[in-house]
Amino acid sequence: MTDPLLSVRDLVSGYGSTRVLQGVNLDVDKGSVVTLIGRNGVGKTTTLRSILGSVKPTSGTVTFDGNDITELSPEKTAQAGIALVPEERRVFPGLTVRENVEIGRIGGRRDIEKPSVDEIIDEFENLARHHESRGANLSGGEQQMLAIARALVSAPDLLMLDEPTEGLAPSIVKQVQRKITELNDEGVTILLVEQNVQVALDAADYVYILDKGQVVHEGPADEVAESEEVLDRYLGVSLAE
Amino acid sequence: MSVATAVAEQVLNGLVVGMVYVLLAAGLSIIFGVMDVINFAHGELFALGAYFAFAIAGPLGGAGFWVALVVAPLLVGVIGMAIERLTVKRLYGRDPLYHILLTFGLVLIINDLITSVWGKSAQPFPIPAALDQPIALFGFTYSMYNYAIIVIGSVLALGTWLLLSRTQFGMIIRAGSEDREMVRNLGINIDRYYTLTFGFGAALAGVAGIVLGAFQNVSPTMGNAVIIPAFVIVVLGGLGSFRGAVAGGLFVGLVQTLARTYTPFLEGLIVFLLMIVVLVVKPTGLFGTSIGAGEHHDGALLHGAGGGVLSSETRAKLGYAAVGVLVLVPFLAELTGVTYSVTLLEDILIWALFALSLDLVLGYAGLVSLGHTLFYGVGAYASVLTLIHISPSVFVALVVAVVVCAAIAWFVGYLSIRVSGVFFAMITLGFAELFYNAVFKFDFTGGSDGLFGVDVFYGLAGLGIDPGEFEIPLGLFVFDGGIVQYYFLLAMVVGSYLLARRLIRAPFGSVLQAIRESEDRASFIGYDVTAYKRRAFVVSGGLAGLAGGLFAANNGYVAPSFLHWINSGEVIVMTVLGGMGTLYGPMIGAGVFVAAEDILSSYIDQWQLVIGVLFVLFVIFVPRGLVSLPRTVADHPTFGSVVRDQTSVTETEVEQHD
Ligand SMILES: Nc1ncnc2c1ncn2[C@@H]1O[C@H](COP(=O)(O)OP(=O)(O)OP(=O)(O)O)[C@@H](O)[C@H]1O
Ligand SMILES: [Mg+2]
Repeated sequence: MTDPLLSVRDLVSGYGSTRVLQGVNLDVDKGSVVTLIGRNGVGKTTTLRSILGSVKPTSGTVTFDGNDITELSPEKTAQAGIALVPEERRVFPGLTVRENVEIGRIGGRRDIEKPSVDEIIDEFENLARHHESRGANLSGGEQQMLAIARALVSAPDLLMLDEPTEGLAPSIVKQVQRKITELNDEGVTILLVEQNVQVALDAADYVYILDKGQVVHEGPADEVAESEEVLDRYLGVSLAE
Repeated sequence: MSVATAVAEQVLNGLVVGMVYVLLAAGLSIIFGVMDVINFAHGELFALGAYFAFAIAGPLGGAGFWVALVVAPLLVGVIGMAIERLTVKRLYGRDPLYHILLTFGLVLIINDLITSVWGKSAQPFPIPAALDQPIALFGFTYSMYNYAIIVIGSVLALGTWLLLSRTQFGMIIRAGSEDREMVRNLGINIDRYYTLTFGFGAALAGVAGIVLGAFQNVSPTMGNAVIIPAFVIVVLGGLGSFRGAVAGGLFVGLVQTLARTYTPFLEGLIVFLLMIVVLVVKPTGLFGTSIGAGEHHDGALLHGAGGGVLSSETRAKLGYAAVGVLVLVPFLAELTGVTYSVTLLEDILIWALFALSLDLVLGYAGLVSLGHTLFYGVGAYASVLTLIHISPSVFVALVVAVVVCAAIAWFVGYLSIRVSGVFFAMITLGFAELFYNAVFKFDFTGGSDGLFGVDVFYGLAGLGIDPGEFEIPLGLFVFDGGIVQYYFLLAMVVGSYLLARRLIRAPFGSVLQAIRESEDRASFIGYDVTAYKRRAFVVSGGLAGLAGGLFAANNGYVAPSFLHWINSGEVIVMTVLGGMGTLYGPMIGAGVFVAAEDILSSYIDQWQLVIGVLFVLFVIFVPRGLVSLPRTVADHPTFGSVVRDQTSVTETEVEQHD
C-alpha cells in the first residue's frame, strides 16, 4: 500500500498549560473521506488546528505528502495544499461572495493551476445568484457553501471540514452532504469533523472516534455503524432510533 | 461681505481642516482595523512629514514644495514600515494596551529627535508662490492654497478608497481587519501586508502634516495637537472604518471651525461632547459595524505578579525598610544639605499614589483607562477651589477632591463600562480632554494660568499647623512646615497603599481577580461583572483625585497641564514599568520613572529620547515590569542558580496577588 496523504502521530497539543490532545494518531489515505467524531469538547477542532498549525503541538508529528509539516505556520501549511473550512464557517462578512472566493484563490499552493473564481461559484447553485452580496447577508447554508467554495478554489490536496452541517436545516444538511460526496468523487481527499453521526458515517470511508484527546476507536465506516456498543459508549447515540 | 459668503468661507475653512483630519484619521483607522494597533505616534509621523518637507522644500525653492509633497511622505512611509518591523511587530498577540504603551514611547523618541534637529520653536513653512494668492470662484475670493488642500485631500481619499475597494491588496487588508486568523489559514502571509499598511498610513499622515504645516507653520507640538482629535474622529466614525474616517474627519473639521467662529465657548469642547454622545448612543461609532477587531483580541495582559522569588515576609520587611528610609530622609537631607531630594520624593510619592490608583482598574479589573489624569486634575482643581472658597483645611479639601472624583468616576463608569475594551479607553480619554479644554474657558478655574498662591492649613477648626509659619529648631535640625507637609504626604500615601491592599485581599479583590482571569466564568458563577468593575473604577478615581489633591495642596497651585493627556500616558507607563497587577509594582515604577526623568533631564538635553528608547525596550522585552525581574533572573539558566540557592521559591500562587 502507498503511504497515507496525511499522517498524524502521537500528537500532543493544547492551549497554554491545558493539554487537550493526549497523543492522537490518525491517517488519511489519498482520495478517501475520513471522519473524526466525538462529543463536545473532546478536541476535534483542536486536532484540525494542530494539523494546520494555528495551534502549536507540544509533541508528535504531522506528515503530509511525505513531508514533516508539524512545525509549519498555518500560512505555510495552507500553501502546502491543506485547506480548512472552519467551525462556524468564518466567511468574511464585509467581502462579497466573489471577493470571498477570490481571496481563497490567492491562498493555497503556488505551483498549480487553480480553477477560476467563476468556475467555482457556478458549481454552487445557491452562490451563483449572489455574486455581489456581502458574506454577512447570506443565510447559514449559503455561508457554508461559500466557506467550502473559498477552500476549494485553492485546489487543495486535502480539504478539512469542521462541522459543516452544524446549525443547518435538514434539507441544507442534505445539500452539504451531497457536495462532500461529489467532491470526493472528483478526487478530493477529505478529513471531516462531524457531530451529526449519521452524516459522518454516511460520508466516510473510515472513521476515528475521539474521546478526551485520544482516538478510542477506529474502523471502516460500515463496521463502526454496526457496532452499537461503541457508538453508545463514546457518542451516546444509537442509530437505531 | 454678506452673511452667506461669510458662512461659505467658514465652511470652506472647515473643509480644509477636515481634509487634513481625513488624511490623518484614515491611516490611523486602517492601522487599527487591520492590526488592532492604537498608534499614538501617528501625530509624530504627521509632524515628521511636515519637517521633512520643510527641510526638502527650503533649499530647493520654487518647485521645492511639490518635490517635498512627494518625497517627504515616502520617507515617512519608510520610517513607518521600519517602526512596524522593528517594534510593533514584536507585540502582535499581546493585548492592544502594549501598542498604546509602545507608541507612547515612540512619541517621546520622535518628538525629541524633531526638537533636537529643528529646534523647539515654530518655523514658517511658506506656501508655494503659485498658490499663495486669492482666487475668485463662485462669486467670492478665497485662498488658492486652501482649494489646493481640498483637492489634494480629495484625490488621496479617493485613491485610498480605490486601493481598499478595488485592489487585491485592499481586499486582503479588509479581510484581515475582519478575521486575521482566517486570512492566515487560507495561506496568505498577512504580516507582510501589515508592514505595508503601517507604511501607507504613515505616508498619509505625512501628507497631512505637509499641507497643514504650509497652512500654518511647522512646530514640534503639531503632532501632539492633532493626535487626540484624530482619535476622536476614528472613534466617531467607527474604529477601522474608512468611510467613517472620511465622514468623521470632514465633520469634525467643519464643527471645529464653525464653533470657533460662531460659538467660541464651545470650541475645543464640542468635539468631545459629540464623541461622548455618539459613543453612549451607538458604541460602534457612526459607520462601525462592530466595535472593531479590538473586542475579540486573544492577546493577554501580562501581569507583574509572579515576581515571587522573594517571600512575602521578605517583601514586607523591604516595605517597612522603605518606609523607614522615607521617614529619615528629611533629617538626612538637612544634614547633607541635599534638601532638593525631599521635593523629588514628594513628587515620587504623589505619582506612586496616582499609579497605584490606575493599577486598581488596569491591573486588577483589566480596564484601560486612557484618561486617568481626569481624576488627578479634577482632584487638584477641586481641592484648590475648596481651599480658596470653602475652608483652608487640607482635610476638607482632600475629602472634597476624593468625593468629587469618585462621583465622576461613577458617572463615567456608568456610561462606559457596559462595553469595555477600546470603547472604555476612548471614552475616558474623551472625558479627560473635555475637562482639559473646559478649564481654559472659565474664570473660576483661572483659565490658562490656573490658580496660584493658595494657603493651606494642616488641621481642622483652627487646630493644626500652618506650614508657612511652623518651625521647631531641634539642634542641628529645623523641623519646619515643609517637613510637616512631607510627613503628611507620606502618611497619606502609605495609608492609601494599606487601604488598597486590604481591598484587594478582601472578597471584593478576589472577585476582581476572578473577573480578570475569566470574565465569562465570573459572570457565570453569578457575579455582576459590570458592577464590580465600576466599583473598582470609583475607588480608583477617588484615589487618583487624592493624588491630585495632595499635589495641589503641597504646592499651592493647580494648572490646566494637570489634565493634559501626557499625564495619562505617563502614569500608564509607570504602572506597566513597575508591573501591573501588583500594588507595589506601579509604585516602584513611579519612583524609577520620576527619578530617571529628574536625573536624566538635568544631565542631558535628549532625556526624552533616552526615556523613550528605554521604555520601548522595556515594553518589548520586560512586559511584566520591574517586579518580574527577580523571577526572570531566577529562571535564567545560568544566572538563575545563584539566586535560587539563596532564596526560597516555594511560595507561588497564594502570594501573587498583593
Ligand atoms: N482557544 C482556546 N483556549 C483555551 N481552551 C480552549 C480553546 N479552544 C478550545 N479550548 C478547550 O479545548 C477543549 C477542546 O476543544 P475543541 O474545540 O477542540 O473541542 P471540539 O471537540 O471541537 O468540540 P465542539 O464539538 O464543541 O466543537 C475544550 O475543553 C475547550 O474548552
Ligand atoms: Mg469543534
